[in-house]
Amino acid sequence: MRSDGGRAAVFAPLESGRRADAVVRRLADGIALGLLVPDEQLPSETELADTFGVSPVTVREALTALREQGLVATRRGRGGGSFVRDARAGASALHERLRAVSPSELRDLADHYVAVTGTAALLAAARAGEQDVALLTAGVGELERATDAGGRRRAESRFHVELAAAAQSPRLTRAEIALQTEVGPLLWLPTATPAAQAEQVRQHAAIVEAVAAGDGQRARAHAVAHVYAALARASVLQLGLLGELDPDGD
Amino acid sequence: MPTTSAPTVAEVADRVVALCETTFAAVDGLRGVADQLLLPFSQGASLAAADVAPIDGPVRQILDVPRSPLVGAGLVVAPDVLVDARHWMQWWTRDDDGQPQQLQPELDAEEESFWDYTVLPWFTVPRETGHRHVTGPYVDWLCTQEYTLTFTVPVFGTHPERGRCHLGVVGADIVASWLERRLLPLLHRMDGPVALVNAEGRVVVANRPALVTGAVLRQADVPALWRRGPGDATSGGATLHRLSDLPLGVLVLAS
Repeated sequence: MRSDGGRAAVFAPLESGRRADAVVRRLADGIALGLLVPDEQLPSETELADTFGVSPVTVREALTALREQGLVATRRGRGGGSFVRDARAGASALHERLRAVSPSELRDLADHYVAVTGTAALLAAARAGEQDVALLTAGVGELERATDAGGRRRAESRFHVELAAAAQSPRLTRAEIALQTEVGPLLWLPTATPAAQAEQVRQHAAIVEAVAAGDGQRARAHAVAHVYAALARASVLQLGLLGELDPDGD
Repeated sequence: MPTTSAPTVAEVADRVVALCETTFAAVDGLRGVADQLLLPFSQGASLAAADVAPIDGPVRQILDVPRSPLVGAGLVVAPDVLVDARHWMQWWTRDDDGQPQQLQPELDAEEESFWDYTVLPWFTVPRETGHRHVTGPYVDWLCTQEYTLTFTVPVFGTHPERGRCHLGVVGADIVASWLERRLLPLLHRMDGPVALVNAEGRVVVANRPALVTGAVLRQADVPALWRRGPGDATSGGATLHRLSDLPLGVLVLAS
């Protein structure tokens, strides 16, 4: 029920802060990760207000923003409601996210992510069963078959959550899911090219091969290299984006 | 976008200096207040913690400026200056909502969790050199909990019996990302690899992904270049352009 765990994280109550923005981010992350799939109907405004612990007005604001970002479509009348649109439309919103962090913040996110993913790979090699290895192998195939940016990013994120699950650690898995909402747009977005895809499929295959062989050190080394390779690609894109900013703006 | 020629190293240096001077201007304002509050010490009068508390007003004021880069500021008093507190500080940080909050670290040296600030570079360097200092970038786990640069200026007094004494520092924190965002557009337009580094060779911001913020550069021996003194120093294809009056330099590396 791992996907249910991921969905529960999407709909968990919000603590505080700019609530409409937080609702937008949560749902946008859920869509980017593929936890909410294209054409899926979102819960009603009242239900969303309940689950997030915010007012219906806040939910309406958030849905308006999501519509403007092209992530959600609202249909009127019988059978109407808010529906998830294809994540490809969200590419510009994801570029915004990459612009909103600085190089040191991106590097720090990758460092944190390496700590979780590297340990997940280490432990998965010691603990993964045949079923786990089969799921990870299927995950490699999913990335190989992905034909668009959204699909590649979803496959990438799923693989890492499966890897943490194979480590048999609920905490590491929850940490992976929580980090995917940040890492997905920031590290996996710049890899949404066919060339990077082939390279990442090879990296995933190397991780799975080491996990299947029970070689924890090698699995961790491959996982660490995989994340830092993504950081290097993301940094190139980010430096380009930040280099064009107004230096006096926020 | 209009095409513009690549900025010179001098232009980058000027921009860094301007950003740092803005921060030091706020700190210098606090020093004026601190000098006044600590003046009785130089007149032989005894000073208590309550006597320096009025610095809170000006500190909160500079933190409260909209879009201010400052995330923390205040006065940190040297040991044995106040009669009722061997260690003391009036330091404020901005919380997540931008509201100033007073920092309340454990300053009782008898306590296990005592925070001995008297060994930290933002306190010791201005004390030893008598000169302002920029510490970092570093993880300021106590105050901002962010990747931070701390700007400090020493405060001295002359006690009738004890002579010239270090009375403490006034300072302010900025987060590294603020400098990164303001310098990248300029660095981006430079042709070769360029990094703003501190004296130990740690990257503050650079225009190459390989020169990641926070890394200590191995491509050039920055401390050795630094020791050659003010002005430009070159070695093995790397040139360090030290900024005047700041512990920062612009390092130009071979492409």
